[in-house]
Amino acid sequence: MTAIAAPARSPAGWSVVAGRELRDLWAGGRALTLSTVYSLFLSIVVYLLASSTNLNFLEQRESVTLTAQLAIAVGALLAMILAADAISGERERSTLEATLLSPVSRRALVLGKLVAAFSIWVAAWVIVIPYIWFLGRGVDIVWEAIACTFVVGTLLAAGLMAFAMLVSIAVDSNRASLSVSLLVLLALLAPTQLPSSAQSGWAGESLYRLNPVTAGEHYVGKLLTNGHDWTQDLDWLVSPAIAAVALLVLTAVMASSLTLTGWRER
Amino acid sequence: MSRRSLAGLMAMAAAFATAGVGTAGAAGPELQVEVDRTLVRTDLGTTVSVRTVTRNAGDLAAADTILHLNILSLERGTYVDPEDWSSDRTRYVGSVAAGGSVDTTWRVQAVTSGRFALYVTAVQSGKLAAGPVNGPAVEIDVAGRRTLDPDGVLPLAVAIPAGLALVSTAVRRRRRA
Amino acid sequence: MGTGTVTPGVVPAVQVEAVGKSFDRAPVLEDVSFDVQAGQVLGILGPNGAGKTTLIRILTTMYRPSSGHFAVAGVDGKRPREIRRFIGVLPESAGYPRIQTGGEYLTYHARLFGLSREQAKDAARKTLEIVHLGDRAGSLIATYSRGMLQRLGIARVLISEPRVVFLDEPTLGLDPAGRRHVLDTIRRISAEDGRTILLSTHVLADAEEICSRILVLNRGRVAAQGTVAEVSRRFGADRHASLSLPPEQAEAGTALLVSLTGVKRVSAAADEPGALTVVFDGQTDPDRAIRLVVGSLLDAGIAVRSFELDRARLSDAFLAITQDDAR
Repeated sequence: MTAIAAPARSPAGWSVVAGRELRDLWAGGRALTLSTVYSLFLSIVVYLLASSTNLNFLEQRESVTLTAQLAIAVGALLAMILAADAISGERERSTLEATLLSPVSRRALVLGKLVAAFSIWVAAWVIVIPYIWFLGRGVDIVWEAIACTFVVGTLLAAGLMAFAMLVSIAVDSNRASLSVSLLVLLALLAPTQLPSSAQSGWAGESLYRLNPVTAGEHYVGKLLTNGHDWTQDLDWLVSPAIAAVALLVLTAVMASSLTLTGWRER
Repeated sequence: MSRRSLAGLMAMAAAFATAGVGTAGAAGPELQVEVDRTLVRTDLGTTVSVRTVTRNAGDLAAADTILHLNILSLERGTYVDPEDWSSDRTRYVGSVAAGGSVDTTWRVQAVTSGRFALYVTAVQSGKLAAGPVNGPAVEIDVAGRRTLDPDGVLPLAVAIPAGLALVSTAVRRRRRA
Repeated sequence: MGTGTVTPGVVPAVQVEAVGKSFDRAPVLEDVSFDVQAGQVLGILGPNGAGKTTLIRILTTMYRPSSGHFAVAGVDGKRPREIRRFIGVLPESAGYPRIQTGGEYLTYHARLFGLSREQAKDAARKTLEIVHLGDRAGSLIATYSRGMLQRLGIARVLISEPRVVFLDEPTLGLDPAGRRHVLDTIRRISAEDGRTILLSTHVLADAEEICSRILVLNRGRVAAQGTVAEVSRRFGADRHASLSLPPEQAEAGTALLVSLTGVKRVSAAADEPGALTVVFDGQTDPDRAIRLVVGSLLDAGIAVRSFELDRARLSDAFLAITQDDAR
């Protein structure tokens, strides 16, 4: 008997992995559970916002902005969590070795898992659409809100996911992987809680611009609340775009270092 | 009536004869700001366009001309932040040639209901002492409208998570079967 | 280099030359060399911490060796992705995704080896039949027993039709029936399919039953290798033989036997006249032992009513090897 003559390259390797991961995620129920909890969170927020009869035009626009920003933050967080669990979780469940023993390249394996993790962001975006429609139709920003939520959310989700995947590849403990990823996200979100005086000045604004999360959220606010043109604040999307591209490239490079026990063989 | 009094009255009459026109001092450049209309009736949330023409009636070019849009409420107690109405309120039009003019279109979104006045000011950055030239005010009447139905939020807030929960349960049951 | 039977011109299925491995400068394997010919079943034995799993992980490309080189299925160890196309591995304590069915799990792994969806489903179905899990193909893995999980693992190993199979503790945690089934499967895939099998195990009885050759590791080094009989004999503890003489000749027979070279001692059973136990030293060949004892007695005119030579026990050899190294 001869072994299977697999091609020297397996271009479909990542799609096989992605297909399996997507089925496990969605047909297995985990992603649906996360989506349900996420939609419950949005429902509570939107109910609180919309049930105020004194909401004026601007406040309504701000409500749309807040909903979009929350969808981006939580959607990106969900994608990050899935990516953080992708490799280190399999190590802990002892299912990684069987996959690593196949001829699929490490890079294809990581790419397939990233595709699956990204799907939860897409679902989060789809779920927020009716909420945005409800809040935004009276103030004529529905399509802008849906579109910019997708653009900004995709950039942030891609970058955060790639970062979480790098951590997952490197560490052998799933708890450590999730903790590091969540801490980094919290650190990136923290500047949004600073008073506006801290956000002004060259240091504050630089930090705000360099931080892809705050920069992305700022862009959404300017577009939706302040009615800016799409291109007016495009420079605020530079750091999210650079972060996404750089982290994805780094993940692709470091994927080949994926081993059974993290970056270091133990 | 004395001749002097009559001359003063005639001068004043001449000054008001040019309706909808703002003027600068007579020496050198002489900027005037005109608007295409004086009244706009619109609904809340609608974006309206106001066109201004900035003319230089003087015999010298008006260098470094800056135009700026302002909005104020004609009703006491109504808060107005012009930045909410338009994010593009300052135009650096440069030099306006003697006898020349600059057309500018301003887009503002009526974000609050009520009665408001909109006007455009022209300033030469090198001649601030001469003072700004204000164009005539445009009255904007914004009719209120309902932009949100609070009663409609509950069905939405319940239906989406409930629907997802049902799908999630059905998928899990089918998986276990 | 290893000492398997070599046929000129035939490349061994597994070649290991002076392989060493260290973690954080602590050596785990040192100077390991052996060959495995195609179709052989090699048992890798050793106490806990001997380096068995590390060796298997190196040969299956999960670890890189710190020194030396190896080849599997004719592919150099420096080309790990290519090696993985030709091997099937059942790791120790492998985990399985509980939310997948057995069929889905195998189909996925078949597709990772390049099969189309239909081919993979077909291969999964057939392989599950081989391991007697055909009727559980549609059940969630979460419902599988320990034995079924191990069979599923073996099915995954076989689905890619590997040339070389690595099994790390395949009978670990199984009941006797499960163990029997696994051993039968291993025997079948070796005998019928001609696959080369490297089997790491603590269970010496498994090695004795199905391995054509064994490799004993101790403290990261090769302590012994050869057939089970060779290793047992070379390193085994004293051999025993039980014989029965006419009671009136027992004393003469005892005196004769004690004088023979290779006989360490002779003892008589207190409750059975004429019954003797002869202890040979471990180096004594079984054939020689029989000739020595029976022949000498007969030549001396002493009748031998019965003679039974105990089989050399691998467990004795194993303990002797590992304890010797410990000293």
